[in-house]
Amino acid sequence: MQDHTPTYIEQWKLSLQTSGLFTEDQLFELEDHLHLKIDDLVADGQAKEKAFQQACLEIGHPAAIGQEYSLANKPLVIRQLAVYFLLGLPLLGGISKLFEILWQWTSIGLLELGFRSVTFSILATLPLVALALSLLIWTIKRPFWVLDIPNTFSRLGKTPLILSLSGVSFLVILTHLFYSYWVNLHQGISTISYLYKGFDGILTSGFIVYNIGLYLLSIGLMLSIIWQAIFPQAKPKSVWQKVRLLALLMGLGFFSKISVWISIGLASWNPPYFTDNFIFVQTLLFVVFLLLGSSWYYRMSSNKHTLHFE
Amino acid sequence: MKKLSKELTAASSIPVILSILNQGETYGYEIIRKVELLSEGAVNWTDGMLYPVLHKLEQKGLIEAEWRVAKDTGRKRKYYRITTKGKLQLQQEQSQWSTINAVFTKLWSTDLTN
Repeated sequence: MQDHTPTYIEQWKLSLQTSGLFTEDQLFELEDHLHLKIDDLVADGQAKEKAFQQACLEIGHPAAIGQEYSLANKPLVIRQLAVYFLLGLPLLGGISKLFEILWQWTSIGLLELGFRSVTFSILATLPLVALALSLLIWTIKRPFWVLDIPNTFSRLGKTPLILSLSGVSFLVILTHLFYSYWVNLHQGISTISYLYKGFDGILTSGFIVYNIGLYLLSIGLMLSIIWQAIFPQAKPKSVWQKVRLLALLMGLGFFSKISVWISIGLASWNPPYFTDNFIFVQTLLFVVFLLLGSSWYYRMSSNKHTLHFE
Repeated sequence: MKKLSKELTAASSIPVILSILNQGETYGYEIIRKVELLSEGAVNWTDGMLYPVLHKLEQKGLIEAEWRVAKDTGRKRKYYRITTKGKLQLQQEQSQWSTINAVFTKLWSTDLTN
């Protein structure tokens, strides 16, 4: 029987790498740790894939380790904070999701084909470069398209993609909250937080405040959509319109990050293949949300109940 | 034996790490195993907890690290060792923990005689 463990380990490492919360050295160290754990379990008589499953369970989810490490990696945390805020921008949020999914599927394909290290990195980046160039050309062809946010969003608001992305972000909040609670409770984050005060504490608080802000905005989004559904003919006041617009903007960026958490939460139930599941679930969610959003949009359109923005 | 509380685990992590490294250089996985063995399973450190602490201690100059190829596996491995500054810190930690230990010893021996 073919041993798939090296591929799983590569994927596990990739999932850590894509979180952006680890340095190269730390990744090497964690990989060595995983290997040692697997070796010990195999020496105890476990099958290699089963040992990998057990070792992953003991080490914890990449997201959980990432959070723990983030408290010791100030520059990376600052960078991640910046990235989170950037993802709050609507277009970047949606596009980054596409990039992420494309990157993950390409990586898996290349790993399965036997590509490693430098060749792997170059080949895996090619589709991303192609996508980036296409988007760049598309943007240049429409000058000021990105800058004219209200009108742009009004136009984009009529597309199924944007509506579906923004409309579903609130659906995953509860799962995210539940998962965060689980991570905090069982992965020892409070233990590590206890060790770090001062600036680290401020950074941690920054994350919490930002997340709370996102929750509130997403709840606003949910309420505004329900309100729109109940009173389709109502003329919203400008304050509500602004709140809704803001919630939609943030919700879209939020979806990009939040779908990662829901995927990890769901995929973690089958740890030996959690990276496969993680990517599969994430892609599935993306497609399902897209279909739901499209169907919702067209139903609304046919009833002439489309959303209107200033 | 009941597992140690998170607070105590966290508070004792630095002196425990420094004490282990004071016995000789080693790597993360071995530290976790040693702690588990010495505490007979009562102290169970997660990897996500240990490594950030090690890196923090390294940043503070209390320990230093070196990448070498492990003889047993041929893989790159990071070995940690205590520095002079770390040894001084350990002495302070030992003194403080000994004080606490002495307080508890006296208190609980009095309780027993009463």
